[in-house]
Amino acid sequence: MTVEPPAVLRPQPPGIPLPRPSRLSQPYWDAARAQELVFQRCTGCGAVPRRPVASCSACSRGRLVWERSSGAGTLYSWTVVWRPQHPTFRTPYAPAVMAMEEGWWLMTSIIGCAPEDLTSGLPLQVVFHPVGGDVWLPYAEPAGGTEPGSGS
Amino acid sequence: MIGYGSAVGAHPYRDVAIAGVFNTEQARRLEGHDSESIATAGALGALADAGLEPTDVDAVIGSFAQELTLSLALGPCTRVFDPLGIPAILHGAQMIAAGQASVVLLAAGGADVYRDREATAPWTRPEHEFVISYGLFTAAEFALMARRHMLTYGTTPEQMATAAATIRNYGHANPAAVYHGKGPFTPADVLASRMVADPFHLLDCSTTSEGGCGLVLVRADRVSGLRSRPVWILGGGSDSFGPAYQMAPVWDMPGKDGYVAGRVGERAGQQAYRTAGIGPADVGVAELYDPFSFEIIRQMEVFGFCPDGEGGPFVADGHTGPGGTIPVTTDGGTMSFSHAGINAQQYQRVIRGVQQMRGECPTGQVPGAEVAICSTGGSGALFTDVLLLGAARP
Repeated sequence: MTVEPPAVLRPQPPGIPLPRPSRLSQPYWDAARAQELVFQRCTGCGAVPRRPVASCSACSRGRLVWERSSGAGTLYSWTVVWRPQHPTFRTPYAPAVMAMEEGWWLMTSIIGCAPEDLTSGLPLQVVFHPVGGDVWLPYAEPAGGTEPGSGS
Repeated sequence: MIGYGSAVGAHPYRDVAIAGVFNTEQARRLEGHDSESIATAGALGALADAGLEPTDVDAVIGSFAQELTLSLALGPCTRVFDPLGIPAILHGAQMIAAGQASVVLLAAGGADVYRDREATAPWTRPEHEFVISYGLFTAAEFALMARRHMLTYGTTPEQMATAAATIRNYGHANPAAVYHGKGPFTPADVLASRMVADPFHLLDCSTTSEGGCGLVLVRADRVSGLRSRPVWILGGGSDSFGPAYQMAPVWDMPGKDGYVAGRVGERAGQQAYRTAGIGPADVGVAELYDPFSFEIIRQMEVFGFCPDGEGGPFVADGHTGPGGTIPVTTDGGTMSFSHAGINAQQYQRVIRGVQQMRGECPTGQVPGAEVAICSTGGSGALFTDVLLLGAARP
């Protein structure tokens, strides 16, 4: 029996299904292409909507502006997928919810460590990788950089 | 004897009876059928179970409402396109209570939908821009919720595996289940099955299959002379925190009045109990939606069968199995009985609840149960719907 090399979480290669931005979300994906993470915030009440919106649902007064995120946060929840939802995805991969330091949640995927290294509250940093079609996808890796030999 | 009460006078569903229920054959694959044809078979079966004819129907609800109106010659007939499960049943009950209909037909089915077996079932793959490229599918979405419960309360894979094995063993014993005779299963068997989306192993997850079903609701003055014993709606509710599978499922996402997304269904359950004038201790059987093993643990807490955070030990102690204090999903559910997609498997929780209240389940019948709680949805989908059924008229 051959010994499997330890699984290291890596970005997906081009070919995976890609997002189709809407009018409201286009600034998010434009920023991602420039390797910047942005999020909306209401100038009236400071609320961060769960996804791009045209008006603030929390106060219905303020204007929504795009702010640049530091990309820093911690691991809130995760899974490690071994049966891909579609054959274009390479396993294992680790969809995760990241608690951003600005007080919002980012859906992302963890790279740059082994599945066993994932723990609650793990400090993370967003990094961008091209996944084809001129789309750069925000991933998250353990803060302090990837481990040697991770291949990412 | 259970007392029924309501804050606003007469019980809202006092004049509504479930008079007919039916499941078609359920199988991994039903040759010669598509979703509409198997839903039609479900509709006709439910009418036959009630002892009614298509000409008796004055409202039809479901994804195929218009097609059934044509193919069963129901017209002129009120048609309601509603792809949901329990909310559609409540809608039908409200139509009867409001005097808009006296016989309401609901039917659903799924067949010839899942063809590419290299991928997960098409209805499990979200296409929204903020999740699509992360390879999410239903198991992963629900795993993100289960993980939070594990971190907060120490819930274990073994406890989840017990929830799955218990339901799968009900299906193993049920001749009508797609996976009849495939067990019995131990928690160790579940843990030994291949990992799909940690913490969910293959046997922690629902199956996929094909099948149809139907229900018939009637006004109470129509029940005498019908073929089957009527079953009654004691209460219901429906909770959502937004569209399913379009954003990160976050357990602690706050809602109003202190509710959180991870406990979705809590308000609906409280509404249902209040309408019924009863509490969890009055419920004899729970026909709960079982997309993933963890959801049983979660619902034990959300519907008040055990304290918050104690769903894992509660399930591990055998409370949800045969002879337990609250047997759960006694036909095998989506893990073993059937999961045809669309909304057939949602109606099927209620159909099983009706069969329990009639006392006619060939396997898994809970002796003496007078109230059933039925549910659909789950935390990873950000919605949970609840229906309370009774053997006696409220």
